[in-house]
Amino acid sequence: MWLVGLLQAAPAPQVVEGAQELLAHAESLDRYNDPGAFSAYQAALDAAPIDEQKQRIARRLAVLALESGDSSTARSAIEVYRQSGGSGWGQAMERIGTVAAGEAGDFGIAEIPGIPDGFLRMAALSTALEPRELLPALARNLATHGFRVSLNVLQETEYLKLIKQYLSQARELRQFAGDNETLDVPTCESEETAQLLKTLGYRLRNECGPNAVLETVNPSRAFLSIDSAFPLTDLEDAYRRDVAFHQPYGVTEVPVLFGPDYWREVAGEGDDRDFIDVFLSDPALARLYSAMSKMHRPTAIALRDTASIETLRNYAPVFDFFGRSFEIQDGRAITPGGAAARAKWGELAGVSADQGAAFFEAIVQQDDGWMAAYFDALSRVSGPAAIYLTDPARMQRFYNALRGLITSPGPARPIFRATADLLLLTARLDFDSSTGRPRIPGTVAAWGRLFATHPHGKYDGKLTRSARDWTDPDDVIEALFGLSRKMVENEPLKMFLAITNLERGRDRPFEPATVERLMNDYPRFGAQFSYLAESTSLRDETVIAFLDSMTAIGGINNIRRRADIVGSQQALVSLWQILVREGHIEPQEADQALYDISVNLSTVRRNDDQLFQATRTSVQRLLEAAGASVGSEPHDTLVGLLAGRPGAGEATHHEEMITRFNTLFAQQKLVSIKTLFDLADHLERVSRGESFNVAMANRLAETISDVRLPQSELSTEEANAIGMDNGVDRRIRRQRELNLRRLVDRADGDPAELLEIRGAIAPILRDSLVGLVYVYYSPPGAELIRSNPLFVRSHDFAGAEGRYSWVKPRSRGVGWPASAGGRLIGSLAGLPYSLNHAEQNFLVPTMRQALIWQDLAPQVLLGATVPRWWNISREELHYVGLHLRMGRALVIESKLDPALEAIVVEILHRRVSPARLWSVRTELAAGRVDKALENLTPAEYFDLADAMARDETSEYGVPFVGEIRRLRADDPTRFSPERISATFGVPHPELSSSLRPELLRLPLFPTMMGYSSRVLAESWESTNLYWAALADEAHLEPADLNLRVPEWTQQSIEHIFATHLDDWPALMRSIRVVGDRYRETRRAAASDQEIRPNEQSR
Amino acid sequence: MRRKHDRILGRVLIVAMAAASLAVIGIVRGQDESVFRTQVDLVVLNVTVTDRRGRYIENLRPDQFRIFEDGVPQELSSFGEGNVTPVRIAELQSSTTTSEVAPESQVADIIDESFAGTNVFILFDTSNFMYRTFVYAEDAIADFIRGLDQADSVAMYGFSRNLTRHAELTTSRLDALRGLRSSVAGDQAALYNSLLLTLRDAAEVPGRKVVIVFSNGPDTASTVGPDDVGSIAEDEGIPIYVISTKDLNRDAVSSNAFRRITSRTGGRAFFAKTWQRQSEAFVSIKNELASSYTITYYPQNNPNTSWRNIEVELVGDDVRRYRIRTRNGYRPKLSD
Repeated sequence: MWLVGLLQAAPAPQVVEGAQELLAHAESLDRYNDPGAFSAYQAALDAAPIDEQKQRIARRLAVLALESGDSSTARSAIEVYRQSGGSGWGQAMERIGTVAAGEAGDFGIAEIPGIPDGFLRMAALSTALEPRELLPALARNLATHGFRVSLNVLQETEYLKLIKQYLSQARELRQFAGDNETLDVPTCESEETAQLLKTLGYRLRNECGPNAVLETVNPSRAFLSIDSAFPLTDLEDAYRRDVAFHQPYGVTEVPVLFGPDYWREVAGEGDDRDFIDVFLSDPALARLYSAMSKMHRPTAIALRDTASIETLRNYAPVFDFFGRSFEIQDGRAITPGGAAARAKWGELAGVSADQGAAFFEAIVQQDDGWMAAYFDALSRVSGPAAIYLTDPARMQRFYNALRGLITSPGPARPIFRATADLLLLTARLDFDSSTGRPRIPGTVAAWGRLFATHPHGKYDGKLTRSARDWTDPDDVIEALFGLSRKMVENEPLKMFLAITNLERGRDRPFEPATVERLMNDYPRFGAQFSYLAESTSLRDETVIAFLDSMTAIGGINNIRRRADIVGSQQALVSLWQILVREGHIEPQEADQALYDISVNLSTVRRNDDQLFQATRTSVQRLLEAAGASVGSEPHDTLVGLLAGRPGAGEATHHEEMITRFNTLFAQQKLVSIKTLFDLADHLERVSRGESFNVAMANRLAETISDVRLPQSELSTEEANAIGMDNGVDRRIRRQRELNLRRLVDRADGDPAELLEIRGAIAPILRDSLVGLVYVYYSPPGAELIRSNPLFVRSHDFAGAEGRYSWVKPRSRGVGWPASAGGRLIGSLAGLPYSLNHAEQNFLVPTMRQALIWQDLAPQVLLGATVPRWWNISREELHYVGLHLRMGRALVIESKLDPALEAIVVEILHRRVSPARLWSVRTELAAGRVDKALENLTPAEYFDLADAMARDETSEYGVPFVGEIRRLRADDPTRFSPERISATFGVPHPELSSSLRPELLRLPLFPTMMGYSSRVLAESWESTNLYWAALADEAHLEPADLNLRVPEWTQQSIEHIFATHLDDWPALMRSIRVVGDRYRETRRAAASDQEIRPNEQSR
Repeated sequence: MRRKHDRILGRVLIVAMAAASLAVIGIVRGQDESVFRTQVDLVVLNVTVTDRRGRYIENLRPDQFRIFEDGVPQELSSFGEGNVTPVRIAELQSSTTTSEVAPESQVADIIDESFAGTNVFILFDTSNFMYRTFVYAEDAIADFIRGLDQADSVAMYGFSRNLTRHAELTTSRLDALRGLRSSVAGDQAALYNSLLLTLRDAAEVPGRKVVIVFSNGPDTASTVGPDDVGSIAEDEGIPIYVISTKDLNRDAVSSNAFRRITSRTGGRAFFAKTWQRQSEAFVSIKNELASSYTITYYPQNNPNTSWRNIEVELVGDDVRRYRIRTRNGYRPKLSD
């Protein structure tokens, strides 16, 4: 109906004022993604009196219609836009629904016997896959899980054998189904029953009728029937009720890139076998299919048409890992860097980049894949890094270093990418804007000395010889390129990046001596550098004091005491880190506080009383630095600070957080810091003659005696397997057996001995402080801290022979009894990741057959639990929401407007691979707007809108861009890139060596050897942006997100159904599902309460 | 502790569980100056009585049971046998003096419909360790589901590295069987993590409930240990039954863990390598559910915020000799 009005709407001067209000109302709804925006725009259009308003409304209506898949309405809106004088959409009508050239003809069809679900289950493929994604996903699974080499013979794995057995069974069933494509069993007594059951591997126990039961007779066949989800229960039910059984059973048609015949040619097979059998039998074919399907399609076609099949087969792994960066346009290869670099690429490859496919063929054949890896790495950088790294002279030099003299084994040999260090190096160099060259922490000479006189053995023989002559930063970078080809632990590179990350953003660089100290201490204390990254204004003296304190503690021979000191030091520094990050401690005060804590702990040598006193002093120092009033109750004050820094109107949220913290603390049977300080004060008074307060001591004993000893119920076999009788368990036993009254009696009034009794409670104080850190970082609903009352107390700060004190924490093991029931070993640096890692297997996948995505899940959860949402305004949430909505709108509108499309492509190209960008454009061109939008992440939409909004000359992005610019102009500080990054970003422990939330805005990383999906997850910065936009849409209080974001994120992880380790679209899909469910719930609630959706919901 | 009580008091220690409605809330001083509330709801006991040969003793009356919590005698609130819904003790005493309980005419006296039947949570190990016996295990579980009492509800869960809820708690046998048949084999085994999550779900359900684990034994992916899980089952009053598909002596670590968590929760462990013995184990569990007693009480005021011992004894010369199996105690919950 509205369309008629839309097309016939005539100016109505008498409603001019109303028309403006209607437009303002519609745009206001639109800016909050309100579903009512569309009809509001319709009403506004009907009332719009002037062409300028009509254009504005029709333009937006066309985009909204395309977003909802309504191309007919979009056409009408475009017509109105044109009729009212709109410009720039001259080709809009033609661009709607046009199928991109070549796309439809790129695929043929193959058949797989049986129902789709059965094959997907057997091949471990997600049911959420699009038909065209099925074979690429299968190809990846075959490449990674289908074959193994044993005694130089390629063998099929159990995974592949079961798929083939399933296909054999499916063919039998298909034959049984006949032309009707239905498994028909008229009655239980019919002869079809026996035939079907034989194929399925079952028989009937008991007579047909109510007692009929299916029973396994052929376990191999029965297993296939169950594992492929054959509806056995329905079949059995039909027999029990003696009714007919009908089950559709035909073939599944799957699209095949380039058609089945091409792949038969690749396999060198005749036509006698089904396509699927050919596909399953040839690992090289599967790898090439995987490579071709994720490559920029025109490039893949050009290579197919130009390169020999033999070349493509032989280099399939190289194409598979690095081909996503290859792009051919108009027959010419697109290369990283400018014209000079382009010539250099041609020189390196031996073929001009103008010869498109031949150029890429040469790239992959050069050196077992190193040049392809290099090309891929340089394709992923932009800005100063791209300028620096694509300087022709450096290109040659760094490539030579990377390639080495002996190229084998190449980077594509392993199942996973082996070039993680290369990608990290090129992505995380820090550049001096004045020189355009990378910053080298300290001096070049110092890095030269590291290689020349490395104290723990040579990193690299050639570098050891050349390093003495280094004078230029390029010498260091060249060495790092050389080392990044190694597939073993690459300490110098990690050290370089860690110290670079520490210096990044600092007010002034470290003194050379400090950098040398950091370099020397990296092997022992490298994991601890993340604490130093929390503040960018630490003095060199503070850094040195921090390192000195750990050196001093490491020198204590008594492992028990050392573990307690390490635990106390780690807890204090972790609390310092949290308070700094939360903004409770100002930067200058942060520096002095860390210095004081470090000095305090350095002095502990002789006895536990010293430790207690140093710890207590440090706690008071922390409270003072955080602005707590003198004499304030230490425990509640500290808990209050940790619970957050609430702004106006956030007190209730803060109280909820405090309650949660206190409950978890109590579940761990930990003792309040105040109780311990009071007890210490009392002992001091006792040393001066006051009577001992037995009741006070008993209260402490009661709490601790309630803690069960871990080994009290274990069998000998379990105790032996765990090795329980170590320091951790002795320590807990000592706490249980602590009898202060007896100690006081033994002191017999000696003041010095009485004072030293305070040392007995130092380990208890350690546990309380460590517990506060655990409680702070535990995700909502965390099971280990709820179910294992010894989780905190059993943290092992020493490990075997005290070797693990300063490394990142990890679970002692997994499974029973290796895990010892949940125990972390190591320091507290990186605790949030470790807690999420230990918790990930408690998540419950909601999708059938899915498992939790290990390594990705902990990092994504970390991104939801470390950032907190205090003192954030609704405008800030709105700012993010506007960006995400504007980004989507721009992408849709680019379908109609070639000029805009060019701008959008150029911006997205910085973060999005050519292959994915091509896919977005193709889906858009084909009218599958929803599919196109799914190919981009919220972080990419944010960047796109940000770039467009910053271009003040651009008029694209109505009705969002004006609001974005207004917010930024009104409060430049609040909406500065730095503040937005800190508020909506996530921590990057690997990429930034830090827990500080930020947006790095890097291209998505692939899954890589040595890191699995961890760096992929770090480069995934979309989750919090999406939740912020959702909260904006729902008008939630920002402080609500302190609990909602971890919950939503957890639900998203439980809903992922990924097929392979690069399947980030599966993560995106699940986030959308959680968001949509929340929207539905909220709308239903609003409907129930008869409130308008746009009203406040809390 | 247990041995001491056995010797001195001559009676069997029993555990109670916290569940269901009508909470009794006490405010107590925590271990420090903070104040925490302990919340003790209606305590529900599942009690199995057998003679020396393991035969179930049925038709006992409520007045033949005495319950002590931390040594203090408790007043029974309700009593039921098998799947018959428990009835209030007061009503029972006024209306019947024989050993028969809960006749049909006393439907109005039923304390809570949620106590009708048992909520059975089946946790099926679908890890790689079960690969060879997967199909037979499904057959045995399917038989058990079909044979459950009509009043019972059943939930069908599976686990490998993660838990999967194949069928939520349902009275429909068909739904439960569909859930069972949708299981997928593979991956590592996180038995204790999954058992903990199953217990969390079961704890949310009012009424009588049990968890039955069907597993090969080894746990390669959990981060929580069996004793912490057993402790939670104890606190929640949920008996755990385990059917291990390994012989007793083949895996000492798992066997010991199974025996501990089943005995402390009032359940039983069966070591059944063959599918015939697995079926027998299911029959035993079914019989036990049909023969055990459900007894409830509201605890007398108890300042103890920590572990509370519960002891049950049989009164009368003719029944004193029988053996009682149930749980060993519970910890009151800390409420926020």
